[in-house]
Formats: sequence, C-alpha cells, structure tokens
Amino acid sequence: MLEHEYHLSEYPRPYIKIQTNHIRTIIEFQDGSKYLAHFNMPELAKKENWLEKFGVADPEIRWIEEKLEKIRSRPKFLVQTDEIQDGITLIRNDNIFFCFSEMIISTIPSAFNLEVDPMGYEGNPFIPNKSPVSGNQLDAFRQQIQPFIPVAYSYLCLSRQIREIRRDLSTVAWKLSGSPDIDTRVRRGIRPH
Amino acid sequence: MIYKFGDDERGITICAGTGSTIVNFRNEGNNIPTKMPHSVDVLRDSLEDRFQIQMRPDEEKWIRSVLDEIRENPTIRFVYQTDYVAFMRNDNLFLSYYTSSANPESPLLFENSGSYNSDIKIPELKQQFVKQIEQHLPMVQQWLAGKEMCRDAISKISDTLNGE
Repeated sequence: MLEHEYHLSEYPRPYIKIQTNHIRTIIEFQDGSKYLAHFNMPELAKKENWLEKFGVADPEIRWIEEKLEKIRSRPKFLVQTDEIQDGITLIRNDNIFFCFSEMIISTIPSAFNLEVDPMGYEGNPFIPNKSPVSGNQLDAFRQQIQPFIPVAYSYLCLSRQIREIRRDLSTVAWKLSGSPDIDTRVRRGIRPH
Repeated sequence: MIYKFGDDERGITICAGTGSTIVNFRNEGNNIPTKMPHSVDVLRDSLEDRFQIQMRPDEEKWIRSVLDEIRENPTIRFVYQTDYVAFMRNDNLFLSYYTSSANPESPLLFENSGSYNSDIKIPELKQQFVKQIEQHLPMVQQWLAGKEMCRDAISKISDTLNGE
C-alpha cells in the first residue's frame, strides 16, 4: 500500500502533514486535527476557520493545493469488492469513489454512468460534510472508469451466478442435514453416582 | 441441542450446534477448555495428555452414546469465504475446497478434510462425508472457478488503473 507524506517544513509556524495512500488523502495539523483533502481547499479552510484554528493562511493553503494537485494528477486506486452485496467500489486516493453495484445490473443495465458520489466519506469522523467535487473532476473520473465498465459488468454477472451457486450449496447442506435441530433443549444424563 | 451429565464438580456438557459439537468438561469445579472431538478416543487422549484427567467409564459411556447419536444424523452447515467453501458437520468433521489462488500449487478443487483439533481417526466417517458431498462437487468447482474469474477481473481493473 502506497504511503506518502508531505511535510510543510518551510514554514516554522504551522506544522502541516499531508498523508496519502491508496484509499485517501488526509491533511493533519499540529494539534492532531485531521481533514480529508477537499478539492476546494480555500473553501474548506474558510469554512473550518483554519486561519484562526491553526494559523494557516494563503501561503500554506497554496502549498497544500500544490501537493494535492500532484496527487490528483496521478491518483491511486483501490478496487474493493463486497463479499455480501456483490459490488465493486473504485476508491481514488483523492477522496472520491465510484460504485458498480448489482442493483445497477438488475434494474438499469445500461446505467453504469451513475453519478460519482462527490464524497464517499460522509460520516467519517475526520470531516463532517461532503466535499465539493467539480463537474470536471467527476467527468474526468467517469472517463477514466469507462473502459472498465464491461469488465465490471462481467464481474457482477459472474458474481450473481456465484451467489446462486452458493445458495444451492447451502440448500444441499440443509437437505443433507434433514431438518436441523437447533433447539436448546437440555437432556440430562444419569448422574455418575 | 445441549446434553448434560454429572454435576458442577465433575460435569460434562455437550452442545451440538448446526456446524460443530463442543464438549465442556468440568473437573473439581474448574472448566477444562472446550473440546471439539469427533470421537471419544480423541477426547480421552486429549484430556489425559493436556490435563492429566482420566475419563471415568460411566462418563466415557455417556459421551460415546451422545456422540453416536449426533453422528447418526449429523447436521451440515455450508460456509464460504473469499477463497474457499466448506461443509461442516456437527460431529466436527469438515470438508473444505479452496480456489487455486489460495493454494497455487494445487489443482482447482483442492480438498482439505479434517476434524477440529485432530485428524479424522474414524476413516469410515470421512468416507461417508465425502460420499455425501461428492455429487455436488461440480457446483463447488463452478463456484471456485467463478471466484477465480472474479478475482482476475478485479486485478485487471486495479492493475490497469494503477498503471501496474
């Protein structure tokens, strides 16, 4: 798993660390406060009042944006699958993701162009709100993913077949068991005296 | 189903679940760690070796009768993980089958059979179990092959996106 850190060492005043791996990119301040890197940093800085909280002003924001741009220009991906729900999630380390799900196949087969969730980390303790992602970013992401739609589609079809087999095998086990007795009645044996 | 024998000082509890059976042996008020034997011999050896406890004839007779009863009509649970499926009988035998990526050196239908805490010491039981499952092996094989293909698809997406 790629782990990379950028430290703002040029400025002795605020300590800022940007940490990125295959899953996400986090900005950490001196007091340990962490934020998922947004696409619109000045907006986030203003909203979260970074100037007052951490002494982070325009030069530091520019430094952050510069580093984030590096990450965004060659984002890393994590492809996650869900054993239970049979979905595929493509997670980019600039904090956006794209889901292919079984539901898309069964209801609207051609609708793989579903909206990219602008921020997949809602509920993440790092940050309370969704990150604004520009239309361009979404389009770029969608374009990047386009070639993989057939593969994802095959995966989901296959996954459905596997699930059916799984159900059949469960039925086999159940039938071989007769009618499984799972009650908790207590049978007492003869006392050993 | 829960079977009990004896008292709190020296008592035995056998819990037959849907995928396993456990024996809890109490000696002088102390619980001996739960055992999952498929035979009384295995349990007796284990109690002697690890806890220096001699099983009494009445206890052995009782345990034997309970395990026999369970074995006569065992329940089977089907379980699966990312790279294997397994059938677990509640007389503590299991048959598992792995994808070839989990066992690169082995064929696709790699069988691992055994019993918790020990080898199967009653070969007829294993034969019976294998026979029970063998007609369904094509389905198992389909599942394993499907999982392999899914894994390849995901690797392909991941590798290409990450430029590897």
